[in-house]
Amino acid sequence: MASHTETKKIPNGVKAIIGLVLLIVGAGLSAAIVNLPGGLELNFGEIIATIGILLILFPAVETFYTKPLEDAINDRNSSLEKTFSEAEDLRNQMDKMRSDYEKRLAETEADARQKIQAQIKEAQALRQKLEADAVGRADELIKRAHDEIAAERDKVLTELRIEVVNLTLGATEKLLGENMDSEKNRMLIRDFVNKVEVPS
Amino acid sequence: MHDLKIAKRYARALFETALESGDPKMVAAVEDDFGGIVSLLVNNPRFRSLILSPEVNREEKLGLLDRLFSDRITAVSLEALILMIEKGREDEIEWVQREFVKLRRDYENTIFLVVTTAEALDEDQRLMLIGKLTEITGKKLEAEYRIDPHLIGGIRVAYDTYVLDGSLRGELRRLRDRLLHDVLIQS
Repeated sequence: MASHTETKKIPNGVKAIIGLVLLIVGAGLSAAIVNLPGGLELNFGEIIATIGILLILFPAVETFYTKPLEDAINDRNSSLEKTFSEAEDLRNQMDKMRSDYEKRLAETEADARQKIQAQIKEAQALRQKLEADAVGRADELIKRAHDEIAAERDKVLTELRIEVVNLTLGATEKLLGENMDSEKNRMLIRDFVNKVEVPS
Repeated sequence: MHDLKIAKRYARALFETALESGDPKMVAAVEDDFGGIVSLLVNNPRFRSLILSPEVNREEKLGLLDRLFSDRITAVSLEALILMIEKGREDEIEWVQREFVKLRRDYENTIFLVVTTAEALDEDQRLMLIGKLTEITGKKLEAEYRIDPHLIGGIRVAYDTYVLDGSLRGELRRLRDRLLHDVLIQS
């Protein structure tokens, strides 16, 4: 960040005019001055002309070299500042995006946690229901098995009783056949005749 | 092919003819005639094949009837047989006889009994039985006596749709039914 301090400077044009004047005056003086013999050769005209040349050269240098260089440096500085500014903006955007991302991440995590909790609850409810169903089915199967066992036992008992009845009656029939004689037969027929009734 | 309706119609016509003949013994005579012919049909395969075979023509059958029965059965019976042969109703002879007997029993208000015993009944037992049954039914009775050792002992009397079972076999069956009923109730 370059800071520009405004200083009161003599314009270059003025400097160039003053230099030109001094150059002309110095050249005139140089031609008029007579060198003193035996002494130090001192030419005021050349000095003035040199000062004038310098006064001309300084603005020229400033105009054609220093100023473009300063402009280039300023442009560069400006470009760098812009780049820094853009980088700063980018960083701010990145920070904002990171913040948004973290916020979204947190929301997503919360949402996911909530969904997971809901799923866990649902799974627990389903598990309880399945367990209850399984228990109910197992109870039903046990009851059915008990019923079937009882029915089978009753069936076997009934068959056994029927078999006992058949055996008993078979034995009875055999005994009756062996013990039946004509006299007993006559007695049976007499009883029948005495007791017989005709169905109405 | 046997047709009971036709047999009943022939039997009724025969029975009414016998009744209207004026001879009080005609019904019994016709019944005896048909009983004898049916017995012959049942017991004599040659006679049966001649009378019932569709390969023997009508004239031969009529000639056979004439030769065998003309001087042995009543004219009413013979005419009925000839009519049945002429109409091709030889198959109905046995059924006509049965229906005739039923008609005669209905007419005389008689009940037909089948008495089955393990041993043959003597005359006293038969009289005692028929006397008692006549007394309680109030009808004349005709009995057919059968012997079936399977009954073990006792007696069984069947008539119409009734069975009076005083046999040991029947007692055992009833006892078995009661026991099985109890067993099934318990289970």
